[in-house]
Amino acid sequence: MRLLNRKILIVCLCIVANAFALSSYAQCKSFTKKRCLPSLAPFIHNGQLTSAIFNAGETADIEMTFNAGKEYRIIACSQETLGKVKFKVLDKTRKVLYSSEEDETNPSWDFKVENTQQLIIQISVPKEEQKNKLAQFTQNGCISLLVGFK
Amino acid sequence: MKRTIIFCIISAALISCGDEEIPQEIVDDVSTKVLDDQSIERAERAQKVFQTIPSPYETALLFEESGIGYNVDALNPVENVNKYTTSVQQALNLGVYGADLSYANIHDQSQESMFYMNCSKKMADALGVAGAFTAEAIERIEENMNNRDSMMTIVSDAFWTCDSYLKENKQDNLSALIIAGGWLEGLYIGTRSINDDNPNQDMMQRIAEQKYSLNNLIDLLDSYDDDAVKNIADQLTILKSSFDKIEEQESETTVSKDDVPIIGGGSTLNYTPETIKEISATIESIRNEIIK
Repeated sequence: MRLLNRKILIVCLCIVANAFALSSYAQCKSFTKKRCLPSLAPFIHNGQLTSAIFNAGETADIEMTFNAGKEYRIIACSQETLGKVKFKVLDKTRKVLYSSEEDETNPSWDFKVENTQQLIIQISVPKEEQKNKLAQFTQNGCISLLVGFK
Repeated sequence: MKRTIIFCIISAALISCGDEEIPQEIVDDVSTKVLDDQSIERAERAQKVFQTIPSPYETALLFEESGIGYNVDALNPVENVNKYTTSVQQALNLGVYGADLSYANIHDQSQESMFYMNCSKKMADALGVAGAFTAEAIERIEENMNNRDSMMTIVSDAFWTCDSYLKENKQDNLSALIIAGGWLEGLYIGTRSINDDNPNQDMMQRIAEQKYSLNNLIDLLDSYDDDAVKNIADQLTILKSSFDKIEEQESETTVSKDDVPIIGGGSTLNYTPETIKEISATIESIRNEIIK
Protein backbone atom coordinates (compact mmCIF):
# COMPACT_ATOMS: atom_id res chain seq x y z
CA MET A 1 0.00 0.00 0.00
CA ARG A 2 2.83 2.40 0.91
CA LEU A 3 4.52 1.66 -2.43
CA LEU A 4 1.28 2.41 -4.29
CA ASN A 5 0.89 5.69 -2.42
CA ARG A 6 4.45 6.65 -3.33
CA LYS A 7 3.77 5.93 -7.03
CA ILE A 8 0.60 8.02 -6.95
CA LEU A 9 2.54 10.85 -5.31
CA ILE A 10 5.26 10.71 -8.00
CA VAL A 11 2.63 10.78 -10.81
CA CYS A 12 0.91 13.74 -9.16
CA LEU A 13 4.20 15.60 -8.82
CA CYS A 14 4.93 14.96 -12.51
CA ILE A 15 1.52 16.39 -13.45
CA VAL A 16 2.14 19.48 -11.31
CA ALA A 17 5.66 19.95 -12.76
CA ASN A 18 4.35 19.65 -16.32
CA ALA A 19 1.49 22.04 -15.65
CA PHE A 20 3.99 24.49 -14.13
CA ALA A 21 6.20 24.34 -17.25
CA LEU A 22 3.25 25.02 -19.55
CA SER A 23 1.97 27.77 -17.27
CA SER A 24 5.10 29.89 -17.77
CA TYR A 25 4.28 30.26 -21.49
CA ALA A 26 0.61 30.90 -20.80
CA GLN A 27 1.56 33.30 -18.01
CA CYS A 28 3.68 35.36 -20.45
CA LYS A 29 1.08 35.33 -23.23
CA SER A 30 -1.78 36.30 -20.96
CA PHE A 31 0.30 38.97 -19.22
CA THR A 32 1.43 40.48 -22.53
CA LYS A 33 -2.05 40.51 -24.01
CA LYS A 34 -3.75 42.09 -21.02
CA ARG A 35 -1.12 44.31 -19.43
CA CYS A 36 1.29 45.27 -22.24
CA LEU A 37 -0.25 45.39 -25.71
CA PRO A 38 -2.81 48.12 -24.81
CA SER A 39 0.08 50.47 -23.85
CA LEU A 40 1.44 50.31 -27.39
CA ALA A 41 -1.56 52.07 -29.00
CA PRO A 42 -1.69 53.96 -31.35
CA PHE A 43 1.45 52.21 -32.57
CA ILE A 44 1.00 48.89 -34.39
CA HIS A 45 2.97 45.89 -33.20
CA ASN A 46 4.72 43.49 -35.56
CA GLY A 47 2.61 40.44 -34.70
CA GLN A 48 5.43 38.60 -32.93
CA LEU A 49 5.51 37.60 -29.25
CA THR A 50 8.89 38.76 -27.96
CA SER A 51 8.67 37.72 -24.37
CA ALA A 52 10.24 35.25 -22.01
CA ILE A 53 10.54 34.31 -18.37
CA PHE A 54 13.55 36.05 -16.84
CA ASN A 55 15.37 35.58 -13.55
CA ALA A 56 16.75 38.42 -11.43
CA GLY A 57 20.05 39.77 -12.78
CA GLU A 58 19.58 38.50 -16.34
CA THR A 59 20.04 40.47 -19.53
CA ALA A 60 18.96 39.89 -23.11
CA ASP A 61 19.57 41.57 -26.45
CA ILE A 62 16.88 41.95 -29.09
CA GLU A 63 18.09 42.85 -32.57
CA MET A 64 15.74 44.58 -34.93
CA THR A 65 15.63 46.69 -38.07
CA PHE A 66 14.10 50.15 -37.83
CA ASN A 67 12.96 51.77 -41.06
CA ALA A 68 13.57 55.37 -42.12
CA GLY A 69 10.38 57.41 -42.23
CA LYS A 70 8.52 55.49 -39.51
CA GLU A 71 8.03 56.41 -35.89
CA TYR A 72 8.59 53.68 -33.30
CA ARG A 73 7.66 53.00 -29.69
CA ILE A 74 9.61 50.52 -27.58
CA ILE A 75 8.09 49.27 -24.30
CA ALA A 76 9.75 46.91 -21.83
CA CYS A 77 6.76 45.54 -19.97
CA SER A 78 7.49 43.33 -16.96
CA GLN A 79 5.80 41.61 -14.05
CA GLU A 80 6.18 43.41 -10.73
CA THR A 81 8.07 40.48 -9.19
CA LEU A 82 11.13 41.43 -11.28
CA GLY A 83 11.41 44.98 -9.94
CA LYS A 84 12.23 47.93 -12.21
CA VAL A 85 13.38 46.44 -15.50
CA LYS A 86 15.51 48.76 -17.66
CA PHE A 87 16.33 48.86 -21.35
CA LYS A 88 18.97 50.51 -23.49
CA VAL A 89 19.00 51.17 -27.21
CA LEU A 90 22.42 50.53 -28.78
CA ASP A 91 23.72 50.95 -32.30
CA LYS A 92 25.61 48.11 -33.90
CA THR A 93 28.91 49.29 -32.42
CA ARG A 94 27.10 48.99 -29.05
CA LYS A 95 27.18 52.75 -28.48
CA VAL A 96 24.33 53.63 -26.09
CA LEU A 97 21.75 55.85 -27.80
CA TYR A 98 19.11 55.74 -25.08
CA SER A 99 18.85 54.43 -21.55
CA SER A 100 15.55 54.23 -19.65
CA GLU A 101 15.18 55.84 -16.21
CA GLU A 102 16.14 53.86 -13.08
CA ASP A 103 12.76 54.07 -11.37
CA GLU A 104 10.46 53.85 -14.37
CA THR A 105 7.77 51.16 -14.42
CA ASN A 106 7.34 49.58 -17.86
CA PRO A 107 9.68 52.13 -19.50
CA SER A 108 9.01 53.23 -23.07
CA TRP A 109 10.68 55.38 -25.71
CA ASP A 110 9.33 56.94 -28.93
CA PHE A 111 11.82 57.77 -31.69
CA LYS A 112 12.52 57.89 -35.44
CA VAL A 113 15.54 56.89 -37.50
CA GLU A 114 17.08 58.96 -40.28
CA ASN A 115 18.42 55.92 -42.15
CA THR A 116 17.08 52.39 -41.99
CA GLN A 117 19.34 50.57 -39.58
CA GLN A 118 19.85 47.71 -37.21
CA LEU A 119 19.62 48.55 -33.52
CA ILE A 120 19.98 46.46 -30.39
CA ILE A 121 17.56 46.72 -27.50
CA GLN A 122 19.21 45.48 -24.33
CA ILE A 123 16.96 44.50 -21.44
CA SER A 124 18.32 44.11 -17.93
CA VAL A 125 16.58 42.79 -14.83
CA PRO A 126 17.75 44.13 -11.46
CA LYS A 127 19.75 41.72 -9.29
CA GLU A 128 17.74 40.01 -6.59
CA GLU A 129 17.59 41.39 -3.10
CA GLN A 130 20.03 40.13 -0.47
CA LYS A 131 17.27 38.59 1.64
CA ASN A 132 16.22 36.35 -1.24
CA LYS A 133 19.82 35.33 -1.92
CA LEU A 134 20.24 34.21 1.68
CA ALA A 135 17.09 32.16 1.45
CA GLN A 136 18.32 30.58 -1.79
CA PHE A 137 15.24 31.87 -3.56
CA THR A 138 15.19 33.55 -6.92
CA GLN A 139 12.60 35.86 -8.41
CA ASN A 140 11.41 35.24 -11.93
CA GLY A 141 8.74 36.73 -14.10
CA CYS A 142 7.71 37.61 -17.60
CA ILE A 143 9.16 40.44 -19.67
CA SER A 144 7.61 41.48 -22.97
CA LEU A 145 9.54 43.71 -25.30
CA LEU A 146 7.06 45.43 -27.55
CA VAL A 147 8.00 47.41 -30.63
CA GLY A 148 5.30 49.28 -32.53
CA PHE A 149 5.38 51.55 -35.58
CA LYS A 150 3.16 54.21 -37.09
CA MET B 1 -2.77 10.27 1.03
CA LYS B 2 -6.14 11.43 -0.24
CA ARG B 3 -5.21 14.92 0.88
CA THR B 4 -1.97 14.73 -1.12
CA ILE B 5 -3.81 13.73 -4.28
CA ILE B 6 -6.41 16.47 -3.83
CA PHE B 7 -3.61 19.01 -3.25
CA CYS B 8 -1.84 17.88 -6.45
CA ILE B 9 -5.01 18.07 -8.55
CA ILE B 10 -5.91 21.52 -7.25
CA SER B 11 -2.34 22.74 -7.83
CA ALA B 12 -2.33 21.43 -11.39
CA ALA B 13 -5.74 22.94 -12.10
CA LEU B 14 -4.70 26.32 -10.71
CA ILE B 15 -1.45 26.42 -12.64
CA SER B 16 -2.94 25.12 -15.91
CA CYS B 17 -5.50 27.91 -16.32
CA GLY B 18 -3.10 29.53 -18.77
CA ASP B 19 -5.24 31.80 -20.85
CA GLU B 20 -7.10 33.31 -17.95
CA GLU B 21 -5.66 36.20 -16.01
CA ILE B 22 -3.56 34.89 -13.15
CA PRO B 23 -4.11 36.62 -9.82
CA GLN B 24 -1.04 38.55 -8.71
CA GLU B 25 -0.75 36.60 -5.46
CA ILE B 26 -0.50 33.33 -7.41
CA VAL B 27 2.04 34.84 -9.82
CA ASP B 28 4.08 36.04 -6.86
CA ASP B 29 3.89 32.59 -5.31
CA VAL B 30 4.89 30.53 -8.34
CA SER B 31 7.62 32.94 -9.38
CA THR B 32 9.51 32.58 -6.10
CA LYS B 33 11.18 29.20 -6.26
CA VAL B 34 14.28 27.42 -5.21
CA LEU B 35 17.27 27.60 -7.58
CA ASP B 36 17.55 24.31 -9.41
CA ASP B 37 19.03 22.92 -12.62
CA GLN B 38 16.08 24.15 -14.66
CA SER B 39 16.59 27.72 -13.39
CA ILE B 40 20.28 27.62 -14.20
CA GLU B 41 19.57 26.35 -17.71
CA ARG B 42 16.96 29.05 -18.17
CA ALA B 43 19.41 31.68 -16.94
CA GLU B 44 21.94 30.61 -19.56
CA ARG B 45 19.29 30.63 -22.27
CA ALA B 46 18.05 34.08 -21.37
CA GLN B 47 21.49 35.60 -21.89
CA LYS B 48 21.10 35.16 -25.63
CA VAL B 49 19.99 37.32 -28.48
CA PHE B 50 16.38 37.39 -29.66
CA GLN B 51 15.61 38.12 -33.30
CA THR B 52 12.54 39.90 -34.52
CA ILE B 53 11.72 41.39 -37.89
CA PRO B 54 9.30 44.07 -39.13
CA SER B 55 5.81 42.84 -40.00
CA PRO B 56 4.62 42.42 -43.61
CA TYR B 57 2.29 45.36 -42.89
CA GLU B 58 5.22 47.65 -42.18
CA THR B 59 7.05 46.46 -45.31
CA ALA B 60 3.91 46.90 -47.43
CA LEU B 61 3.48 50.45 -46.09
CA LEU B 62 7.09 51.32 -46.90
CA PHE B 63 6.71 50.00 -50.44
CA GLU B 64 3.43 51.86 -50.89
CA GLU B 65 5.07 55.11 -49.77
CA SER B 66 7.76 54.47 -52.38
CA GLY B 67 5.13 54.49 -55.10
CA ILE B 68 4.31 50.80 -55.60
CA GLY B 69 0.95 50.26 -57.32
CA TYR B 70 -1.52 47.43 -56.74
CA ASN B 71 -0.86 44.36 -58.87
CA VAL B 72 -3.14 41.43 -58.11
CA ASP B 73 -1.02 39.16 -60.31
CA ALA B 74 1.82 39.48 -57.78
CA LEU B 75 -0.24 37.75 -55.07
CA ASN B 76 -0.56 34.05 -54.28
CA PRO B 77 -3.82 32.97 -56.01
CA VAL B 78 -6.64 32.37 -53.53
CA GLU B 79 -7.43 28.99 -55.09
CA ASN B 80 -4.00 27.70 -54.06
CA VAL B 81 -5.20 27.59 -50.45
CA ASN B 82 -6.48 24.02 -50.79
CA LYS B 83 -3.09 22.75 -51.96
CA TYR B 84 -1.35 23.20 -48.62
CA THR B 85 -1.79 20.03 -46.62
CA THR B 86 1.32 19.79 -44.42
CA SER B 87 1.90 21.99 -41.39
CA VAL B 88 5.09 23.35 -42.99
CA GLN B 89 3.22 24.43 -46.15
CA GLN B 90 0.39 25.84 -44.03
CA ALA B 91 2.74 27.87 -41.82
CA LEU B 92 4.74 29.29 -44.73
CA ASN B 93 1.59 30.17 -46.66
CA LEU B 94 -0.13 31.65 -43.62
CA GLY B 95 2.77 34.12 -43.70
CA VAL B 96 2.39 34.54 -47.48
CA TYR B 97 -1.37 35.15 -47.31
CA GLY B 98 -0.87 37.50 -44.36
CA ALA B 99 1.48 39.61 -46.46
CA ASP B 100 -1.00 39.52 -49.38
CA LEU B 101 -3.77 40.61 -47.00
CA SER B 102 -1.61 43.50 -45.76
CA TYR B 103 -0.81 44.59 -49.32
CA ALA B 104 -4.45 44.39 -50.47
CA ASN B 105 -5.64 46.29 -47.41
CA ILE B 106 -3.07 49.05 -47.73
CA HIS B 107 -4.20 49.53 -51.32
CA ASP B 108 -7.86 49.72 -50.19
CA GLN B 109 -8.84 46.52 -51.98
CA SER B 110 -11.75 45.51 -49.72
CA GLN B 111 -12.88 42.45 -51.63
CA GLU B 112 -9.36 41.10 -52.13
CA SER B 113 -8.68 41.76 -48.44
CA MET B 114 -11.64 39.56 -47.48
CA PHE B 115 -10.41 36.79 -49.79
CA TYR B 116 -6.94 36.87 -48.27
CA MET B 117 -8.32 37.12 -44.75
CA ASN B 118 -10.29 33.92 -45.43
CA CYS B 119 -7.15 32.21 -46.79
CA SER B 120 -5.24 33.27 -43.66
CA LYS B 121 -8.04 31.95 -41.46
CA LYS B 122 -8.05 28.65 -43.33
CA MET B 123 -4.31 28.21 -42.83
CA ALA B 124 -4.51 29.23 -39.14
CA ASP B 125 -7.39 26.80 -38.55
CA ALA B 126 -5.45 24.02 -40.27
CA LEU B 127 -2.56 24.67 -37.88
CA GLY B 128 -4.97 24.39 -34.97
CA VAL B 129 -4.83 28.09 -34.03
CA ALA B 130 -8.54 28.58 -33.53
CA GLY B 131 -8.33 31.78 -31.50
CA ALA B 132 -6.70 33.96 -34.18
CA PHE B 133 -9.49 34.53 -36.69
CA THR B 134 -12.56 34.14 -34.50
CA ALA B 135 -16.07 35.08 -35.64
CA GLU B 136 -15.68 38.23 -33.53
CA ALA B 137 -12.35 39.14 -35.20
CA ILE B 138 -13.80 38.58 -38.68
CA GLU B 139 -16.79 40.74 -37.79
CA ARG B 140 -14.41 43.49 -36.64
CA ILE B 141 -12.44 43.14 -39.88
CA GLU B 142 -15.61 43.42 -41.98
CA GLU B 143 -16.76 46.49 -40.04
CA ASN B 144 -13.36 48.20 -40.39
CA MET B 145 -12.54 47.13 -43.92
CA ASN B 146 -12.20 50.74 -45.07
CA ASN B 147 -10.27 51.90 -42.03
CA ARG B 148 -6.65 51.07 -42.73
CA ASP B 149 -5.31 51.71 -39.21
CA SER B 150 -8.01 49.63 -37.52
CA MET B 151 -7.47 46.83 -40.02
CA MET B 152 -3.72 46.89 -39.38
CA THR B 153 -4.33 46.57 -35.64
CA ILE B 154 -6.90 43.77 -35.97
CA VAL B 155 -4.82 41.73 -38.43
CA SER B 156 -1.61 42.28 -36.41
CA ASP B 157 -3.50 41.06 -33.33
CA ALA B 158 -4.62 37.93 -35.23
CA PHE B 159 -1.03 37.16 -36.27
CA TRP B 160 0.17 37.87 -32.73
CA THR B 161 -2.34 35.29 -31.49
CA CYS B 162 -1.00 32.73 -34.00
CA ASP B 163 2.60 33.44 -33.03
CA SER B 164 1.98 33.32 -29.29
CA TYR B 165 -0.23 30.20 -29.55
CA LEU B 166 2.44 28.28 -31.46
CA LYS B 167 5.18 29.40 -29.07
CA GLU B 168 2.99 28.49 -26.10
CA ASN B 169 2.50 25.04 -27.57
CA LYS B 170 6.18 24.47 -28.31
CA GLN B 171 5.74 24.86 -32.07
CA ASP B 172 8.12 27.80 -32.42
CA ASN B 173 9.43 26.22 -35.62
CA LEU B 174 6.06 26.83 -37.32
CA SER B 175 5.98 30.33 -35.93
CA ALA B 176 9.39 31.00 -37.53
CA LEU B 177 8.08 29.67 -40.86
CA ILE B 178 5.09 32.05 -40.74
CA ILE B 179 7.49 34.95 -40.22
CA ALA B 180 9.72 33.73 -43.08
CA GLY B 181 6.74 33.29 -45.45
CA GLY B 182 5.46 36.78 -44.66
CA TRP B 183 8.84 38.41 -45.13
CA LEU B 184 9.50 36.62 -48.44
CA GLU B 185 6.08 37.48 -49.87
CA GLY B 186 6.38 41.13 -48.82
CA LEU B 187 9.74 41.43 -50.52
CA TYR B 188 8.54 39.48 -53.57
CA ILE B 189 5.63 41.93 -54.07
CA GLY B 190 8.09 44.82 -53.83
CA THR B 191 10.47 43.34 -56.38
CA ARG B 192 7.58 42.72 -58.83
CA SER B 193 7.05 46.47 -59.06
CA ILE B 194 10.59 47.15 -60.27
CA ASN B 195 10.64 48.25 -63.87
CA ASP B 196 13.84 46.84 -65.38
CA ASP B 197 14.19 49.68 -67.88
CA ASN B 198 13.55 52.52 -65.48
CA PRO B 199 13.78 51.27 -61.88
CA ASN B 200 12.24 53.40 -59.14
CA GLN B 201 15.12 54.62 -56.92
CA ASP B 202 13.03 54.65 -53.72
CA MET B 203 11.86 51.09 -54.31
CA MET B 204 15.38 49.87 -54.97
CA GLN B 205 16.50 51.56 -51.74
CA ARG B 206 13.68 49.89 -49.77
CA ILE B 207 14.53 46.51 -51.26
CA ALA B 208 18.23 46.97 -50.47
CA GLU B 209 17.34 47.84 -46.86
CA GLN B 210 15.80 44.40 -46.45
CA LYS B 211 19.41 43.23 -46.10
CA TYR B 212 19.20 43.89 -42.34
CA SER B 213 15.96 41.99 -41.82
CA LEU B 214 17.29 39.09 -43.88
CA ASN B 215 20.24 38.76 -41.52
CA ASN B 216 17.87 38.74 -38.52
CA LEU B 217 15.62 36.21 -40.20
CA ILE B 218 18.49 33.84 -40.99
CA ASP B 219 19.70 34.11 -37.38
CA LEU B 220 16.18 33.36 -36.16
CA LEU B 221 15.82 30.31 -38.43
CA ASP B 222 19.31 29.06 -37.55
CA SER B 223 18.24 28.78 -33.92
CA TYR B 224 15.93 25.84 -34.80
CA ASP B 225 17.01 22.26 -35.22
CA ASP B 226 14.25 21.40 -37.67
CA ASP B 227 14.60 20.15 -41.27
CA ALA B 228 11.88 22.34 -42.77
CA VAL B 229 13.26 25.44 -41.08
CA LYS B 230 16.81 24.53 -42.13
CA ASN B 231 15.63 24.15 -45.73
CA ILE B 232 14.23 27.69 -45.78
CA ALA B 233 17.34 28.99 -44.00
CA ASP B 234 19.52 27.38 -46.70
CA GLN B 235 17.52 29.11 -49.45
CA LEU B 236 17.74 32.42 -47.64
CA THR B 237 21.49 31.97 -47.33
CA ILE B 238 21.65 31.86 -51.15
CA LEU B 239 19.63 35.07 -51.21
CA LYS B 240 22.03 36.56 -48.66
CA SER B 241 24.94 36.10 -51.05
CA SER B 242 23.15 38.52 -53.42
CA PHE B 243 22.37 40.96 -50.61
CA ASP B 244 26.01 40.80 -49.51
CA LYS B 245 26.92 42.64 -52.73
CA ILE B 246 25.26 45.70 -51.21
CA GLU B 247 27.95 47.71 -49.47
CA GLU B 248 27.37 49.42 -46.15
CA GLN B 249 28.95 52.75 -45.37
CA GLU B 250 29.02 53.60 -41.68
CA SER B 251 28.83 56.98 -39.99
CA GLU B 252 28.57 57.85 -36.32
CA THR B 253 25.08 57.68 -34.85
CA THR B 254 23.60 60.70 -33.11
CA VAL B 255 20.34 61.36 -31.26
CA SER B 256 18.53 64.68 -31.76
CA LYS B 257 16.79 66.59 -28.96
CA ASP B 258 13.44 66.83 -30.78
CA ASP B 259 10.15 66.00 -29.03
CA VAL B 260 10.38 62.73 -30.89
CA PRO B 261 14.15 62.11 -31.01
CA ILE B 262 15.66 61.16 -34.37
CA ILE B 263 18.57 58.73 -34.54
CA GLY B 264 20.84 60.11 -37.25
CA GLY B 265 23.83 58.56 -38.99
CA GLY B 266 24.26 54.82 -38.99
CA SER B 267 24.48 52.85 -42.20
CA THR B 268 23.94 53.99 -45.77
CA LEU B 269 23.81 51.45 -48.58
CA ASN B 270 25.55 51.37 -51.98
CA TYR B 271 24.23 49.02 -54.65
CA THR B 272 23.71 48.69 -58.39
CA PRO B 273 20.44 48.04 -60.25
CA GLU B 274 21.98 44.72 -61.34
CA THR B 275 22.25 43.59 -57.72
CA ILE B 276 18.58 44.44 -57.14
CA LYS B 277 17.67 42.47 -60.28
CA GLU B 278 19.66 39.52 -59.00
CA ILE B 279 17.86 39.73 -55.63
CA SER B 280 14.50 39.90 -57.45
CA ALA B 281 15.25 36.77 -59.46
CA THR B 282 16.34 34.79 -56.39
CA ILE B 283 13.32 35.92 -54.36
CA GLU B 284 10.99 34.88 -57.18
CA SER B 285 12.51 31.43 -57.31
CA ILE B 286 12.25 30.85 -53.52
CA ARG B 287 8.75 32.27 -53.25
CA ASN B 288 7.39 30.27 -56.18
CA GLU B 289 8.74 27.11 -54.57
CA ILE B 290 6.86 27.95 -51.36
CA ILE B 291 3.47 28.62 -52.96
CA LYS B 292 3.47 25.75 -55.46
